[in-house]
Amino acid sequence: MNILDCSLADMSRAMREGEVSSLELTRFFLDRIERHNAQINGYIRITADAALAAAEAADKRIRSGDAAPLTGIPYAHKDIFCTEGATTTCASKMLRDFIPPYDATVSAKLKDAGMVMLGKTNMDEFAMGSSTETGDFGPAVNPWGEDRVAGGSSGGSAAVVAAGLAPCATATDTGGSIRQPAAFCGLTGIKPTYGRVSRHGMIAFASSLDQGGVLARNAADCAPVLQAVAGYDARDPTSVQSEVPDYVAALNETRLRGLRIGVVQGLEDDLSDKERAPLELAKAFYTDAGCEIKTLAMPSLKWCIPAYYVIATAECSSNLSRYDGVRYGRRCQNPENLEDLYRRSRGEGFGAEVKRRILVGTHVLSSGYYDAYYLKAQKIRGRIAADFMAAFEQVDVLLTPTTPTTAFKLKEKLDDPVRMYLSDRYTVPANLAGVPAVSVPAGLDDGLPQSFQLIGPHFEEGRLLGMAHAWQTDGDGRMGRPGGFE
Amino acid sequence: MTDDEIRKLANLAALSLRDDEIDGVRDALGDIMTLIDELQNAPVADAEPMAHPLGVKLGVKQVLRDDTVNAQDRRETMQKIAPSTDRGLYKVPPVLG
Repeated sequence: MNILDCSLADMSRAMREGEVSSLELTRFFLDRIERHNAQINGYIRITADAALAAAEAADKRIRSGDAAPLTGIPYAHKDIFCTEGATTTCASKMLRDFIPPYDATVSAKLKDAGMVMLGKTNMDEFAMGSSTETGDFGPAVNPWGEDRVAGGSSGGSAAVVAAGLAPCATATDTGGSIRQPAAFCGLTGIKPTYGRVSRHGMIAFASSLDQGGVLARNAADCAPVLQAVAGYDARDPTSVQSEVPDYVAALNETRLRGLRIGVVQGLEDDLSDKERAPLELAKAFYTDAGCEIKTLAMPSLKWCIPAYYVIATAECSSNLSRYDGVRYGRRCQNPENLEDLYRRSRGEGFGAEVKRRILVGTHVLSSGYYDAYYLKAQKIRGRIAADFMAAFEQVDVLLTPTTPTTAFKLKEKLDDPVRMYLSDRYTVPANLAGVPAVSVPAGLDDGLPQSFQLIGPHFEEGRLLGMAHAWQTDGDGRMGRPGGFE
Repeated sequence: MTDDEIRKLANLAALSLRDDEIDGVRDALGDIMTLIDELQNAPVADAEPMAHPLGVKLGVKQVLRDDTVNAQDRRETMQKIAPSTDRGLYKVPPVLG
């Protein structure tokens, strides 16, 4: 069997039938990491010994007949999820030596499922960025182009899955950090409904927007991993107490005939014909399959980026106040007094983008500015969410671009934060409204992956995965591997 | 924004900034605030502020857990990762002379 071509279900079946062991799968990926990771800098830590031990335990579990669907399958874990006893840095100097004393709920659930963690993946520092260039470990590089970013903030997770250094990966999404790297690296990435996946132990950036999810080559591989991590968790008071549907069953049970797909008036106007091509492919495919396309207006979307950057920075400045050099994380040398300890520990521990966002957040929350910025942004957020609710009265799903362009060049936007922020304009709305969204690959432009995005009503992840799966099995949605990584 | 405003913000955020960082931060914050200031044109007169992302859908408010004892004493575990401790306390420079 060619492991690189296998789906997660294929691997699981092959392990149960004794055709391959988890140890063999794990060694296969560790060997590829050894050969290729330096090119893409996707992993910032490889946990080979722990992976081999976990694989042996998984093989025992499979032999004893006690296996879960994902037992023995290797995965890459974004370095934002706490892993007990294994360094977790969030790609920050602040947490360079941080060894969490507990597992994030997502880490624990994947461990319980018997999955094998290969290592921790590169990201923007504290998930603040759209290119995986702002962290402390150097940029992740897109396997589809050595001068291109892998996207961010989950760029390491996307790069390693695209390059075949893991069959799937965890990721998180505050304003597009799962979907934009998926789009840039030719993968499927799902950001679930806010509250669907526990945030316990997922290092916080902007708590009302952050949501954990999955990156894989296609919807069929995303579904079982999402199944494993979704669900209520008493340790995250914002996680939702409602039953988790069967996402794997939804892949084939989603009926396209009669589904109403909304496209947003004016949203694609500034795209070129080439940039719009994936949307036209999707429209043609879904129309042929019996869906109806409707155009609708969502007037509040034009305020998304300013509203997002007020709310995200405000919450970031509040969340990151916990890094004070006292209880864990970096402490400066020879502090003169307590104030000096706080200031220098933070000044030395945070990178440029994190500092910018803390300062903006401090400004918009400061006395005299709160009403003009934070309160106003929350009101616009309400309007945006209301626009989504109204849209989902008329349609079952929205079809939009994921990104305005294919992967941009390394360093192209690093020194121009506003240009970087504007590249998130199609992904941010789903975070503000708390609704699920999936980025789906759709062909190449000049050798770089293109994509479209499907956004659904709250808790309709199954419908999104089912629609993506149809495109990937009956349409032109299958992606190959980038050159050099076949 | 002026350099003094940047220093004041850094002070509020308990963040030391080196002199050679100030120029870059001032320029970037100026650009970011210009972007954010577009909000002032948004029509929100009768809009309700939305604090919880599921508020519109589910009317979700603060969820409280059951009032049961579940805290464990994990002081030793937690203090193992602290930069400096002394007899079960976190150690910092003296606050009073």
